[in-house]
Amino acid sequence: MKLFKRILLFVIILLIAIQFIPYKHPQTNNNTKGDIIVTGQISGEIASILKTSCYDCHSNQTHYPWYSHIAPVSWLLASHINEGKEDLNFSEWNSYNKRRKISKLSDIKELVEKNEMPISSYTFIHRKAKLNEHEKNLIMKWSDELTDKLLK
Amino acid sequence: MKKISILFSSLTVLCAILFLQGRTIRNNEPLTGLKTDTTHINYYGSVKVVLDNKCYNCHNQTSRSEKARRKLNLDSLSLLSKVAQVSKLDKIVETLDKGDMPPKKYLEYKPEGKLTADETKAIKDWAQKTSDGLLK
Repeated sequence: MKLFKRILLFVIILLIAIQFIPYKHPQTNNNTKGDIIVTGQISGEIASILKTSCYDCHSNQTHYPWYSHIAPVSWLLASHINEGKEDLNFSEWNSYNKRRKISKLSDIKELVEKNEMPISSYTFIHRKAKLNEHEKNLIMKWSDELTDKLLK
Repeated sequence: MKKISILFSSLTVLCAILFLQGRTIRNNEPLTGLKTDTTHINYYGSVKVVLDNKCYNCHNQTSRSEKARRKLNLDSLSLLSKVAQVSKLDKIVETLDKGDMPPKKYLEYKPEGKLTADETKAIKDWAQKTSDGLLK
């Protein structure tokens, strides 16, 4: 009993202590000039899917829930979102050249088809973000169509 | 004792969740999308020498690294579809811009494998020029 109490106390102190380790959430930015949705390049249906399933990690419009400010969750989220935005940022879509857009669309199609995106640790918490078969097909079709348009 | 077991089990589950969310997603599928007709790829200037000396060891058809071969296979680059080629060429540019290649672990035991500024520029220029040609 004494040992259990000591371990528990240690864990609680550790959890409190790590809250003081500085971290920085990737900033959100309401300047949406270059955003793929704002520029009207995609349909309402695709926009809705992207916003629900992709935008938290792949845009400057991340929604940070209350638990995102508690370590170690805050660290994991910061790391995920930084990596996500580095790989693909829909808010900067217009800054991508044609080659980059085609490459990103190819990645989107491949990863959605293989159920690798959105990632399971995200959809475990955000159930609505999980893509059903219809949504997957819509995204893949959209990727193909936009790629064909860019190739012309 | 029971409480210690519960606490230990809870910590184990928490650690497992944290570990699993950070796991690398592996793709062990073989290279697909090859076509029999080829798009001839021009290796402008000195870039062929640079690719041969600094990249080919890992990025070839018989590479021991399945991941390196899957990410970029210089032997079959010209066999890919136009979109796939443009994609690979863009990945080359993006990867070099980030300074991610050659990998740091590789350079630890082979520091001479590091790309010079001129070599990086040569590869990027080649990748951009080749993809521009494909997009015409």
